[in-house]
Amino acid sequence: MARITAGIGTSHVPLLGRIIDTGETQSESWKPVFRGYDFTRQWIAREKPDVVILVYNDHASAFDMKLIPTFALGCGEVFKPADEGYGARQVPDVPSWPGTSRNRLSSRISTSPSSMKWMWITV
Amino acid sequence: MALEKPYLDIPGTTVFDGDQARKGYQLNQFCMSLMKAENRQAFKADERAYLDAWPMTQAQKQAVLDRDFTRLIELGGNIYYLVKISSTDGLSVLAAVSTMTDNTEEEYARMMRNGGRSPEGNRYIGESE
Repeated sequence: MARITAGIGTSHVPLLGRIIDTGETQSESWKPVFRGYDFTRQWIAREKPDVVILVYNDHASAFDMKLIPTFALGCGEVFKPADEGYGARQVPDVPSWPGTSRNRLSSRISTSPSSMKWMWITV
Repeated sequence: MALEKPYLDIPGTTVFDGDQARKGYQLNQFCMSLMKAENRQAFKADERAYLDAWPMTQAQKQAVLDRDFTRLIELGGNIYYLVKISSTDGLSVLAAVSTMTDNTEEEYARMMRNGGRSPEGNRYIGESE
């Protein structure tokens, strides 16, 4: 039986991605903000979740004004970073979790017949 | 019966509701088109010609040419779409949105890092009276 081990939230600040890309995370202005994530990095490295359920704002990337669902569940094989106008960020593609477990998630988000550790991250 | 909109009196704020979405549909879809590199190239080569291919209003096209984000929001633009324009210009979201204020980019960033604007007097028009 899967076990939800944690829920993590962070403020929605896409600018932080750009600050990382422009190498400014250690500047006077931004150091305090990124120091706030030190604990989280260490904690995730220690906890080693098997699955992360990431709840996030699509930011008009996958969805445009033709179709905007209130809520959507991503069941793709892989999730690639979007190109919002200055090229996709150079970060790894995110693989989905394999096979039948993903189908179970589609039908019943609160349970799964695996013995995996789940972590919710909301951004 | 007209739809009630109690949010119309939030100072300096346009809520992106159904009416705004209808007004700005073509404008927002134009913005989406800039997610493709070849479209960004075409837009940069001749902005007016690229815009004229879209059934947007003249006011919307002019606001894009002027990079007037406040006006674009008034005319139905949604910020998640509008930042495709500023990204095409090579600007951060911070740089784009700070142009909608009296602050420089650094002043705006400092304000936000210090906790943002106070809600006092900013909840509805006339609150501070």
